[in-house]
Amino acid sequence: MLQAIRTLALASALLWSGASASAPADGDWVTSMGDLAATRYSPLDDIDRSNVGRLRTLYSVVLGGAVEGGGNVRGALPYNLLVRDGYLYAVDGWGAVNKLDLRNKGKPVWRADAGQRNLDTWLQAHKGLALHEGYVISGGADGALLWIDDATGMLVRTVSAGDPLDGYSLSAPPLVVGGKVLVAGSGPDRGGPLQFDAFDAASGEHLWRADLGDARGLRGSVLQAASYDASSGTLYWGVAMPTGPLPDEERDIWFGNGVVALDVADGTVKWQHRYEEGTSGATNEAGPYHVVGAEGGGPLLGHFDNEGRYRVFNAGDGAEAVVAPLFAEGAEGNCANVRAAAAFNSALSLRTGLVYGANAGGCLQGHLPIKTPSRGDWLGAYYRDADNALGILTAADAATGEVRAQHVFDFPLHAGATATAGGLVFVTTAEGTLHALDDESLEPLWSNHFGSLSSAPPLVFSVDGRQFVAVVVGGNALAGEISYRPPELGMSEGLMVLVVLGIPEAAP
Amino acid sequence: MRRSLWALAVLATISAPAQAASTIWDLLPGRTAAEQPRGYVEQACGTNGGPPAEFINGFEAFSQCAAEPSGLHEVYFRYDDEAAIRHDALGLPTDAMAGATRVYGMGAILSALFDDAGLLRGLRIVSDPRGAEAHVRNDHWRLAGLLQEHFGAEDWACSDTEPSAREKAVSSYFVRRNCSKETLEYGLTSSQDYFHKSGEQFVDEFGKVQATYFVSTSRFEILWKDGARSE
Repeated sequence: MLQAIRTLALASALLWSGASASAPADGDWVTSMGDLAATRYSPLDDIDRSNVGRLRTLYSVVLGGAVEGGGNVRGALPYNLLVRDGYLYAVDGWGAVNKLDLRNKGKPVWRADAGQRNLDTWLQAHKGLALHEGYVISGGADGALLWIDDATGMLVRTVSAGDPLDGYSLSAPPLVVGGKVLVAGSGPDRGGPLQFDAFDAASGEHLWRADLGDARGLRGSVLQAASYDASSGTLYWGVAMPTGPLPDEERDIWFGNGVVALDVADGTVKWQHRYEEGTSGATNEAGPYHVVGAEGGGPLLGHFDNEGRYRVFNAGDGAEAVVAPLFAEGAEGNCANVRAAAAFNSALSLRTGLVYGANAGGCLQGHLPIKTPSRGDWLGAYYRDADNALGILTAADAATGEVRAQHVFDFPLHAGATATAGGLVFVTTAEGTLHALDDESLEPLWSNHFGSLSSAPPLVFSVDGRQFVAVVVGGNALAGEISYRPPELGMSEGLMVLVVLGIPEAAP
Repeated sequence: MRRSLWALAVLATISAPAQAASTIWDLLPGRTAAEQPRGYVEQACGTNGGPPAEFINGFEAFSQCAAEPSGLHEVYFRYDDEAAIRHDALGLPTDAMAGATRVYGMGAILSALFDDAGLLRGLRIVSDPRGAEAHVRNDHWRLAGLLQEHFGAEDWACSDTEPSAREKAVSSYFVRRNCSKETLEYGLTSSQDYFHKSGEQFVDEFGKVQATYFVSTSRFEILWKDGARSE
């Protein structure tokens, strides 16, 4: 099984090599999910179980932006950081794209704010970036794709993918595959058209738009970049329902919660799967779909759903192979715990063959006594759904969903997980603590509290052969949903800070 | 026959989904105030899509509200969210679709429009800014767009107004759009506004974020024509 997963990852890497003029080095992080198969897995292993206890903050960089801004800026954290050739790319809280020099303690190289001036209220939480040769490609919430010159930060080209007056928005990061920029537009809760488009990454020319087979045009929300199976040339996008109520007769116009498989060559729909409606009324299945190798068969798609289950599909035809409950029987109702926001990215370790679901804890529904690290004793009260304020990390077999380990945190995991070849899983809890855990037992090995909220997934990369871990703290769009606010959650600075950590070098 | 077709057509657009609380989609055009479904509360005389004026005893008391120039009596109402609140208080799973007076997830001020005979002739839906967080109100201008699509995206006549000297775009976009659509069954009007008023900007001259400084509203009216009647 493990060999199959490694093989698939290699196939993805090979395709990337063929698609881009400069193949990414092992230590780069060039897509929002780390690679085309959407694994959030780093092959770096210099930081491992034996030395992670020595991880220290090396430097920090203030990123612009505000937690409490207009529109959706509160959710505009730089979730989707990218690293290439020693430079880090981040969208800040003002919507501007930043290039930082990682060889010079994150010194700004340029900041591009064209198209996103004055706290753009069209900004969505999941805005992200893609890299292609000499361009940084930014997806704007107003439906525009921006080509920014990597060397100068100057805006080179703007291409509109849809009309924002129709509610259209690019709410998911773009993905570059084989010279194509793949984008999904939707406009979560604005009723924008559900569109999947491809543009030429070099010229901006529109190449195709997928026909979803409904002349009326479908609606739905897409919050993640596609994942990609190089062996079949297939793109996979998760789709979500809006949060608002719909008239019954409109329900078939909305795609619903599901996943779409498209041919990267021409956008042909290979298959689509729609989930039955969830029980919570908040079901959202736009989270990541990991491309998982399968022993003796074609690849699989693995997905943590929003009802406390791990689902496995046959990537070739969309047949559902596994629906594995992750939590005790009877705990699934009203259990929107595996959130599908971009910050809730799950990870697939190519080392262990396990997937890691970072949850917000609703599946342990109940009335729990409140305890926190600041007050180890019972605080004298039970809170209904207070357990929603806990975080649960689940490690499960990527092909079968068999749960191997779970770890409960005092605070929600409003950020995703990142796995490494060093035998580690990194997660960030909402109050601003970065944790490193054993990737098999989920035993906590190290943590550090940064003193402010966080909902950005950890990033692992290397520069000139040295491994680093980075996290952004300074805001959490979901903090308002936390039912209990102990002192650790009291701080919510309107300042976003990139913190870079590593193992300190020995003194000469 | 034609009358029956009209009725079917109306039912196709205003159906009655089985939800705990009645919504605008449960209202029965062409039927009397007394025949309207239960599940609405706090009926009051309307203020042209604004907050409620004098409270009245249900839709049946529509005549206590002065007629508008159109001759229709505007009755404000709200969804009955008591069951949802009780459910929530007991810690039982709550249907997120039920409860608050929302249309497409956005807070809305709702008014039923009755003629002198007490027949439901219209419905007024206006985005409700009360209590809405800035990032939610930011989408209110889209409510009318969603309602337009509900009645079919085709055949709308729309006009866009250029910003006046006292208005400017929110970042790149300025929306002042009025639309209308006529069918045999109903007349529809829609207006959407999304802009900064004079002096408003998200970052003020002192560099302070002013998250609420913008206009984002929708207004939508359905006026059923004579003969439209739910069966």
